Parts: sequence; C-alpha cells; structure tokens
Amino acid sequence: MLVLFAAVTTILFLLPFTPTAGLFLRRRQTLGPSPLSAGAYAPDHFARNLITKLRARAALIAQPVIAVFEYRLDDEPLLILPASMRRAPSECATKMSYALADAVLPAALACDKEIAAEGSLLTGGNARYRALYAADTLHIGGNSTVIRWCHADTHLKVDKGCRILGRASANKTIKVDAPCLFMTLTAPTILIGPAEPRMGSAKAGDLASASGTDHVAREPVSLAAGTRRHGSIKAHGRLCVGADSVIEGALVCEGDIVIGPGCLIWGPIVAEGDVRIAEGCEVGRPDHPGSVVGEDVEIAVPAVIHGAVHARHSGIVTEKSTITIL
Amino acid sequence: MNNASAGASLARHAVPVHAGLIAVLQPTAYVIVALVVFYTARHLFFTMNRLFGRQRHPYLDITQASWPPVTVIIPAHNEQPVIAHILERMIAVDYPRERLKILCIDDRSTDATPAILDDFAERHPDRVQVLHRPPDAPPGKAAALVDATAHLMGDIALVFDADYLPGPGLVKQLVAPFFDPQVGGVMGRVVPYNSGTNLLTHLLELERSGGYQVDQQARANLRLIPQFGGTVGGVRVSALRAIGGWDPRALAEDTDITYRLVIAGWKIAYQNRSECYEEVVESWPARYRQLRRWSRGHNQVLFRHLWPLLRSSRVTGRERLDGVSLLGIYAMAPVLLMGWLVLYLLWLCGDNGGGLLLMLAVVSYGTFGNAAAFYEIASALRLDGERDKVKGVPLILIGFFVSTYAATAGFLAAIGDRLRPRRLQWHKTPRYRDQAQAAPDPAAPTRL
Repeated sequence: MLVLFAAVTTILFLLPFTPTAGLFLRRRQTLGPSPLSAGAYAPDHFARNLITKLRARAALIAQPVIAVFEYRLDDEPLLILPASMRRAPSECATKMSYALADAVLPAALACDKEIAAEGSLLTGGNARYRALYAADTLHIGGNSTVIRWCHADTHLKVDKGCRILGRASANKTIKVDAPCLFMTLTAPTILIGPAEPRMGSAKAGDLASASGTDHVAREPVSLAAGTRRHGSIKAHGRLCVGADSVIEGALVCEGDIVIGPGCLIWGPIVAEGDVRIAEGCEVGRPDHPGSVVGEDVEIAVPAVIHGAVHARHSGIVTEKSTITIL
Repeated sequence: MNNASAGASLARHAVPVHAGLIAVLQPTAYVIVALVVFYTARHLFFTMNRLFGRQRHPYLDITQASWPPVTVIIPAHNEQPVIAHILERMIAVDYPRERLKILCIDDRSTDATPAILDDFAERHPDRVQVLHRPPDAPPGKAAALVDATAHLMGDIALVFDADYLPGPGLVKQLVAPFFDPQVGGVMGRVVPYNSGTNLLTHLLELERSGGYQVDQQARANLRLIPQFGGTVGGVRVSALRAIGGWDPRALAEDTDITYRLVIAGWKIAYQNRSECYEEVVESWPARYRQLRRWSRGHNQVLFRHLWPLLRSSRVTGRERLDGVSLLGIYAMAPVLLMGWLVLYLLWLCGDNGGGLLLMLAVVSYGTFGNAAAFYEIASALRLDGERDKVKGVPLILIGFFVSTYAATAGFLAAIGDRLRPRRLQWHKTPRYRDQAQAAPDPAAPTRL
C-alpha cells in the first residue's frame, strides 16, 4: 500500500515535468533566444522587406520581361508586370504584383495582395488595397482604403475620402487632403490640405535637456493666445495652447492636448489622451523633425508636420476645426 | 483509540506546555503569511493588468525628433571576450553622428580590454572616448560611473554593460522618454541571447521575461515605479547632479539611483519594446554570487531609502506603496524561511490550525519561484508568443530554492554591512563568449 502511495505521489509530482523533459530532449531549438521587435518599428519596415524580396526574385529571371509573367514568392503567386505595361491588369486584385516601371491601377479594385512599382504608382478611386509601394511617387485615389501600409520613396499623395488604416510613409513628402482617416504618417514634410511650411531651418535647440526652462504642472495648463515659450511643458490634465503661440520645446500631457490655430510647436507633442490641432499649425522644422502622438489625433487643414503623426486609436484630417479654447 | 483522536489528544495536552511559545509564534506566523499573501496578490494584480488592462507606451511612437546630445557609458572591467562586440554594435546605431558620444571606461582591467578600447577610439575618434581608471582607483561600477560624470556630453547618459548587444534603433528609443521633462530615468527590456545553453540560462530567460514583460510594464501601466536596472537605460544628467550623483559605495547603484530620483520627484519611464540582448550567467555558482550581490545591494537600498521614501512629499500614495513593496522583495526570502521555521515549531507545539502551513506552501511557491511569480512568467511567455517555453515553467522550482538561499545570504550580508561597514568585495561576472568570433547575431525574425 505504501509503495503504491509513493508511486502515485511520484507520478503526480513528475507529471508537470513531462512536457519540460520533451522540451529539452526533442525540441531544444525552441529554447533559443526570443526574437526582438527592434526593426519592426521603422516606418518603412514592411515596405523595405517586401521590395527587397521582390528585387531579389526579379533578379533571378534570366530573360527580359516583355509580358506579364507569373512566378512564385514565398509560396504565393507573384505577377511581374513589364516596364512597357502601364495599366495593371485586374488580376492584381488576387495576386501579389510587381511592376518594373510606372503603373496605373484601375478604379474600384478590391485588392487582397501587395502591389509594388519600381516607378510611380497611380491608383484609381473607390478601391481597397492591402499594401502599396512605389519607388517614385505614390498617388492614392479618392475614397480608397489601405489596410496595412503604403510607402513612397519620394512623394505620397492621399486624395480626400481615403482611409489609411496602417502605416503611411514617404522619404520626401506626404500630402493628405481632407477629409481622411489615418493611423500613422511619417515623412520629412507632411502637408495637411493646401499647406505650405512657414518655419525656416532655425538653429537646433536641445529640446530634451532644456531643464532650466521646462515646466511641469500637476494640474491642467492653458496658455494664452500669442504665448512664446522656450522649453518643454508637461501637464497632468488637459493642456491647451492658445492661438498663434510659439513653443520652442515639447508638449507632454497625461490627458488631452489642444493646439489653437496658427501655432508653431517645435515638438514632439505627446499625449496619453487625444491631440487636436487647429488650422494653420506647424509642428517640427524642416531640418529638425517632431512627432505628434496621441490616442485620437485630429488635424484641421491647413497644417504642416515635419516628422510623424501617430494615432494609437485613430487619426482624422478635417476640413474645419471644431476646437474651442476658452 | 485511532490515530486521529490520539493526535488531537496530544495537541490538547501540548497547548498548556507551549502556550507561551505559541502566543509568540502564532501572531508572527499570521504576519508572515499576510506578507506573502500581499506579494502574491501584487504579482497576480500585475499579471491581470498586463493581460487585460490598458497598456501605456506613451513614448514608443516618438520616432521622429530633433535628437539631443547623448553619452553612452560602457563600464568595462576585464571584458576582453565581449567588449568589441558591443562597440561594433554601438558604432552602427541609428543616431545623429555628432550627437552621440560613446564613453568607454576601462575599469582597472588587466586583460586586453584597454588595448581593444584604445583601438576603437583610434579608429573612431569622433565618437569613442576611453577613460582609463588607475589600478588603485576605488573598485565597482558605481565608482567608475562617478569618474565618468565629468566627461559627459549633453544632458542624457545611457549606461550599457559590456556584454550587451544593442540594436540600431535602441538609442533613439531610450532617449525618446526624456522629451518628457518629468522623466529622470529610463529603462529598456533585457533579453538573454544565450538562453538555449543549459537549464540555468533557460530559467533565467523565464525570469527576465516575467520581470520585464509583465512586472515592469505593469508598473509603467499603473504609474508606479519601474526600476532602472543600471543597463539598457539611462538618466537625465541634470537630475543626477541634483540628487548628488552616483553613490560610489552603492552595491546596487541602479536601485539606489531609482529611489533617489523618485524621492526627489522624478519619474522612471519603462520602454518594454526597447529590447536588448544580454549574456546571462551559465553556471550555478556564478548565479548564486550574482543573486547574493543583488540581494545585498538591494537590501542596502532598503535600509537607506525606506524612511525617506515614506516621508517624501513628492511621491504619490500608490508610488509609495509600490516603492516599499519593491524595496522589500529581496527581504522576503529570509521572511519566508522564517515562516517555514515558525510554522514547523507551531506544528511541533501541536498548533496547526487555520491551514497556515498549507497556505504558506502554496503562495510562497507561486509567488517567489525564482524571485518572480509563476503566473507572471507564464503570461509573459504568452505575450512574447513563446508558447513552447511555457513547458519549462515547472522547473522554476529549482531556481526558487537557489534564489531563496542566495537572497537570504545577501540579506544577512546587508545587515552585517549595516552593523559594521566593510570594504566591499567585487566578484567579476564571468563571460562565456569567444572574443575571436564575430559578434553573435541572434537576429531572429522580428515579431511583427
């Protein structure tokens, strides 16, 4: 009886260790280092991955591409469109496509796969795309939806009525017409509506260490119109900046940030709540970028952002600001 | 008379004899069990917050900015096998070239470390500077950091241990929180790259995973006190100077600086996605010495900063509660051992009522397994997408015994330091890499 008790107890004790033993004996490779997420946060991370793979695949093709060829990439069908073909076929809706030069996509296309072009890419309106890449200019037609990401190596133009549900990035400029929904916009210059940059390339300030003039408030902060301030501001409630103010520093807030019309903010603007930016504002400078980060981000046209806008939940470009600052 | 009634009779008989002892031991047992239950609830609360609560990553998306000047400090004491690897990585980081200074401290090295550092400084004179500490300089990382303070560029100093392998975007990610003028310190996440070497390294990966992915991030979510861990992190130099700089006597200079910053009203930011590979120890004696040192240093901080923390008017109530419980984490190992002893004595005295013994057994195992909780570790592995590694969680039992013993030894040493201050003995953490080989590149596929 005692032996049986000891045996059952031992088995019960060792039972949780059984899968552990298997882990060490048979699947030791799973004990390797956990992967890091480091590079995935670069704005063009997915675009770079895709175009690198596409170029590598295209380089393997021995003969010149003079007609649409179908190959495979990562076990998926891949269409390679010749340089002579400007108008992409409707097959792009179901197959990953790689144009060797400029390409024009038809309107009202519901596309489930990535589309890349080594030249400019012009998409028709009322369409839905998974991901778009252009080595030159990318122009997304009105009322279209991009589900994952879009990137242009030069300029990205987003017509009104579009919904960019993932990352949008460009190496030179992004121009967005109102109304438009977005999640993340990243470019040296982001023009919201018919905007032009106002700030020149001022002398670089040391924004993260302007401790002598920084201001930390444990309550909401409201700056009067026309305020000019050197240094960063942190507020624990709502942070309001009056019209035509100039803040040579960062704005950080654990609540909402509201920027009045015509303000110049050197940035970054970081809110744990929402960010609302009225018309005529400019964030960052051409040679010293800034970021706008908030849960929901609302930007009224016209506005200029040098750097990035990240909405953790949703971003919207509106034609008319609803902001009122008391 | 059967056995049960005989035992009950014995217990009734024993009570008057040991009544005095029971009167002392029983309240003690209740206090100890209450403490252990508190820590269990704390770990469970953190886990639930991480799994179901609102996650705070306020600075993660600051990807574009006018990046300020920053100094990366790399203290190195006999780091010949690893020092070149971190320098190669650091030279390649994505940060404005003229705004990054890499300050290497040759801390009385007797191997080839000084020559390797000088070679890098010669090849990259605009970025790398070497500070040689003489053989008679005071030992220890904190003392080396004190010497480095005079050579800093800008208002931000990041600290990396020599065995770390930073990725290209890490420096920007660690600098980003400093745009918040209230942030005095920043901590990133540490991930072991040699986790597949043996059982110990696997257990250490589990521990790191629970500690960072759940514990530190939950504290950031709840606006408590994430801990600056002395590496893959940094401090605002003006804040550091305002609180009196590094304390060269501190054995755990990271915990010391965390509490001094918090008591002075600064915040510590934790960046869970600012990940960096490290080399964990691969032998149990080295692990024991490391844990003992950490416990000793942590408990020194407990004795030094508990009262100032409780009195500080710049600390919120929730920060104070979290700060005290974090300070006490290594002291719980001897408390736990004492709990077992007390409950055993009570049992001998015939008092085993209330199920205290069973309760202590369950919660102590669940709470202090390898200095972190089972459910924290299991949840962290799930969040990391490492479901296979969950199978290793039962093995934490092994680490639990070692860490309890080592933490108790460290606690007693800290009490000894308190009673009779002694010159600290520094044990060099061994390295396991081959210098002749290229820097390990565990560049596994990214998670997204």
